[in-house]
Amino acid sequence: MIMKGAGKLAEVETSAGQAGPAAVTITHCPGIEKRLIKAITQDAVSTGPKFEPQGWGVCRIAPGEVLLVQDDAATVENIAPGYDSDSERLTVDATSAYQMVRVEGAMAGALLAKAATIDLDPAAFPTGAFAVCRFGIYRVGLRHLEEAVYDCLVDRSLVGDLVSYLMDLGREFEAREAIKR
Amino acid sequence: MLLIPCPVCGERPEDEFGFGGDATVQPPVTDSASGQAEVDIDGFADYLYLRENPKGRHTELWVHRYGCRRWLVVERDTVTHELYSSRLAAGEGGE
Amino acid sequence: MTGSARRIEGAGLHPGADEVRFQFDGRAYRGQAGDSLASALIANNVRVVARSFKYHRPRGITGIGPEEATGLLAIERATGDEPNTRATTVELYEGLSARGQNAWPSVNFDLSAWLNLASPLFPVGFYYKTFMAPAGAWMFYEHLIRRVAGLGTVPEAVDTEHYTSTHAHTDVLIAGGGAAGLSAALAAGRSGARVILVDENPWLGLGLLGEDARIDGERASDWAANAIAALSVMDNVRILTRTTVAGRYEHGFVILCEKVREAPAGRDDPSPRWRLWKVRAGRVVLATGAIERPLVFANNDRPGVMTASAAAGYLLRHGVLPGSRIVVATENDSGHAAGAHLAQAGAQVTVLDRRDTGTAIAAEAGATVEWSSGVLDIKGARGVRAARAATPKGERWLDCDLVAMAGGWSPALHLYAHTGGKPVWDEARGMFVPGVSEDGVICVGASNGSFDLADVLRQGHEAGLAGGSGATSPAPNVEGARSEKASAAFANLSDAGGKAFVDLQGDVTVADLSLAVREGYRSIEHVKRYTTLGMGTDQGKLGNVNGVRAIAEARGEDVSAIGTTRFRPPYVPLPMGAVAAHQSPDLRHPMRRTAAHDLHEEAGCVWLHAGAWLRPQFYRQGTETDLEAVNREVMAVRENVSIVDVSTLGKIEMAGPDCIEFLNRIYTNGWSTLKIGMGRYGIMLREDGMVFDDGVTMRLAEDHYVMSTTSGGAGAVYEWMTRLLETRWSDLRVVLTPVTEQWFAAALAGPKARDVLARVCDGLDVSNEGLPFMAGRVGTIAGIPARIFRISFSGELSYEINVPADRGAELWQALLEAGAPENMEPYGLESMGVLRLEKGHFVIGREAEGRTNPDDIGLGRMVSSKKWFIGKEALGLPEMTVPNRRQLVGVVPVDPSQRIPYSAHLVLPDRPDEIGGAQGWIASLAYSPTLGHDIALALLEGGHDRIGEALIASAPIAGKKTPVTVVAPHFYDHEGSRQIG
Repeated sequence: MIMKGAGKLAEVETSAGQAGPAAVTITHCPGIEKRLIKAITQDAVSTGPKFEPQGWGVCRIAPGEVLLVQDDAATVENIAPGYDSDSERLTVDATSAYQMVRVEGAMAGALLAKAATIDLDPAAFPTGAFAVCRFGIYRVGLRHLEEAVYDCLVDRSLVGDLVSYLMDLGREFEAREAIKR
Repeated sequence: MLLIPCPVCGERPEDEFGFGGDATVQPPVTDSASGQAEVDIDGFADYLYLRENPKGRHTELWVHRYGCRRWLVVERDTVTHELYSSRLAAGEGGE
Repeated sequence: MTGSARRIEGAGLHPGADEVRFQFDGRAYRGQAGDSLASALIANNVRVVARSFKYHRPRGITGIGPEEATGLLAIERATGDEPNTRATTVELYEGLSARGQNAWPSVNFDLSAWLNLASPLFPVGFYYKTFMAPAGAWMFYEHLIRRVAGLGTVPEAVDTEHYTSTHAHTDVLIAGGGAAGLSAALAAGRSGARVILVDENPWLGLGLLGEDARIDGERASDWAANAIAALSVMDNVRILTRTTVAGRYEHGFVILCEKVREAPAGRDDPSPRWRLWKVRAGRVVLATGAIERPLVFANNDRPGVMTASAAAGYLLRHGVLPGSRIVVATENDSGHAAGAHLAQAGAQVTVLDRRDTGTAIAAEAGATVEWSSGVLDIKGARGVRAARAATPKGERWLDCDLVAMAGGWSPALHLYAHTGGKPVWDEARGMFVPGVSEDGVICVGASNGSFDLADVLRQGHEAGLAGGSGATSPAPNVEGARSEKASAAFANLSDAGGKAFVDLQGDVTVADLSLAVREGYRSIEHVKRYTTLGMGTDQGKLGNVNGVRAIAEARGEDVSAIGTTRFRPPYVPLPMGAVAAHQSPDLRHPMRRTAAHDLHEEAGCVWLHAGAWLRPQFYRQGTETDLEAVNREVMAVRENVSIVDVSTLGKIEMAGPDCIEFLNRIYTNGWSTLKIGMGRYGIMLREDGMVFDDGVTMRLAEDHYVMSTTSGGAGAVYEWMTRLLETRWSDLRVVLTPVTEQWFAAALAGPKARDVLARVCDGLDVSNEGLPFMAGRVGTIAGIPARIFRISFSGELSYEINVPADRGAELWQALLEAGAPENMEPYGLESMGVLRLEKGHFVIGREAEGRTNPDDIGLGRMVSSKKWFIGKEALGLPEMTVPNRRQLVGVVPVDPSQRIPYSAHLVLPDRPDEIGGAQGWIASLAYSPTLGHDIALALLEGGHDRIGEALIASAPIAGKKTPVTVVAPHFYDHEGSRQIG
């Protein structure tokens, strides 16, 4: 913080956000494969800590419920939708159901702090963390992918609204919207 | 803006949740899948429309609508809002 | 009379700063960077800045911060004027333009000043005793009163300023950056805790300005500057200046309101003006200081009468000496401290102290001090000219241009009391102090009633460490602090003559409070509302404690028996823009869009908000009227083929060995015979037996189903079902997941639907035998993986085609192309409403409006007698079987060319104007192009037995009546042959 004043008391600068080239970019990324797996037994081992299918990011929503997000199309293992009566697991295709909006840049954390009520401090929400929470009026799955890169998963019917909302939040950082083809 | 401790997601503000009323109240008939159940008409009307309104501890249902969407049983003081406990409703022996 | 305020060279926090030009009431003035609007006006000897609320008396500046009660101005801004703004908290900027309020033509010469002369006609609560008759004239009186009352003018243009809000989490939130707050922040910051330190001023440590004591060996203000510098480089400490802690709530939730920018945004400046912070704090330290009270004497509201700490503050902060001949009226030592600063700057100061002895610091600085003395009255309506002094030697007028009042200190305990804590009256020291605090909240320093500097710093230090872990550090050491006697020998307020004001903003005098008590108002909450004491935008910061004292005297009781009114957030008025922040009109509520949204837009649809969804109401072609479009769409479905986007319907996938048992428990009908590949319609009841949702459930496999719900009920039905499974039936092996968003759905409907479907069904057998009514198949349509359900809401041959939503637009296009030979066009929600009405299909929310059971809406045959289901017991309650229940019927006009009015009730023909005796109402109404006249479904008492009866459909507010006939609740193809073939 910059100090002004003649040594008697000092004025502290305000917290106005810093803009700059690409301080934060908001990108809708369609078409990412996703699967939602829910087991009848809520603490089912099959969706517990050892469940790590190849090429998928595993986002734990609740006991016995995970959302798989395709991270590596080249090596991804096939996960077919349907009900398996042996494991009592229901797998549904969620590729269309949840849309991904990526928020990245130096001001990504500051922008998301406007939307999310959860503690986004690196100690509380480190890289690799995932949480389903409320952004304004939307239910969002938030993934902390890497330093200054976050993915927001939202209902498909609301993705346009969410992007508008995030752009409005990012106005003071001169947020950019990018479209991923 | 109360902070409700969700056993799955951690402490979250109350506007992530829906409120489900008294958790200790059960319908006064057995949920039997077959045939008629014995019904106490007055008891059933009370079950539908009457609830205690305690000044103090209340055991109640919340659903984490903007989070894991699980149903929780929470003990809260209705005057001080102190939260004593929170657990998933689908624990051992739900009914 | 002009005052003689002047700027003292080298004094204040911003000596020699750049000049800033501003305007007030159209006149140009100059101030300095760092000035508040108030300090700049005072420096320019602008004494009258406002007119009071009721009596239009000239008013000046009374305080120096948010406690300001009188210096309320309108600030003109291109983005939207800001009325009722405290001049004391506006930071001066180049080009600022301010206006006086509540006066015409100006605050200096106000024609409404006659109200002051007529004031005996307007005692407290006068509007409860006048304007009573004749009753009809109230609307006339109100119009007049509104024009005279109030202060500022509400701007009418839309506010285009930029606002934002954000969240933060912290271990410690410290409200107040004075001595106690800085001490707490140092301790907490050095211990490694996450700290947010908040102060409403642009500078921290203002209370230490001019303090002679030494802290840790340094001058107090140097200690403060070094503390701020140290805190500024700690990564775990965030300092927010120009930020008010607006409210404190349960579980450490605190709202802050930060002024990011005072001046208008420059071109290309993306910064917001205000930022609302929603903070969750592990613990809260309240170091909010104390507010100095005015004294109560006749005409204590004149311009040039201000609090002593404000008078000294304008000198110490801004280098502005607010007067040259100053009378300090005091009841404690701090008035002398203020007088000493003013005398040292060159003013001629006389201190009148009600006590008979006290500190010598004012006398040592050259002030004249008279003990056992006080001020009785003021001369100078447009600015103080003289004060009437009462001394042991008698009364006399003292020439002066400023009267500084030191009426004692009131700890600012609002944030303490926001969660319901009760302040306690300390009789010895004459102030309310915080009572018992909840866990995690600590009041320190002056806000806790402590004024000794060593105590203040130590309390702050301990509070900064309390409840935390991590490194500790020693408390600051103090030398040479003046022992502050905050005690006072209170005068009787009721001794004050003339207009002695208690609440300056509401124009409430001591006489008003006495009158209220004489009229029988006892409780402070009643007196407050009757007199408007403390109800202005200053929320009684200066006046409430004096008000409590006046009421206590009038009632002949102790102050502790009166108590305070309930404190509620916010501590200061908040800009509505900051509270609304990003909920702009466009983003006010969620707007769900289907995958074919853009295609509907391109096709010229008229949009409808249906719950959270945007849906096409109809598609206008050329210059069609609304009705022409809808009629065309309806006939296309009845005679040809058409498609409608039904993606919004709720879909829930269900799996597990106990699904049939679960379906049997939640629907009224039986499910045990449902075959794989078939669907069944069900109605769902609440536990009180009322119908609340309906839909078709398809069996995809042995243990795998997909259930449909209404569009509006999707979320509620899912939550209801999970509630049952998790809280009552956890032994049932069923798993549910909502899939509404995964699928795009279009219904292809009409006699030619099968022809069109056959062109895109990729070899799937869609003959009547291959895909019979109520069957479901999985396959591909136009190359897209699909689920096809042969169900019908319109009553025609109909197929609901579901594809993954990412390919929904593709499907919509493919279907339109496949239907080109039939000139197929889409239809919308309005037409769907006409089609279902012709079939007599009820709709949740209209016919099933929460008070109808299955029998009421003609679905008694769907209620199984062979099994239990939710709502079964309630159907046996006595009220459920009385004969005059409102039951579903159809209604048609007697004369088919007549329209049935909207919102009509059904009344008897021999008593057509007796709405009170209405028999029922119209639930749904439309013109049926298929039949050529209006049709309606209605809920009519005992309707099942009144088919054929003649009634009147009456809409009295619209002044319309139509004779109607009660008919069976279906108008078209009741046997359902068209959907089954």
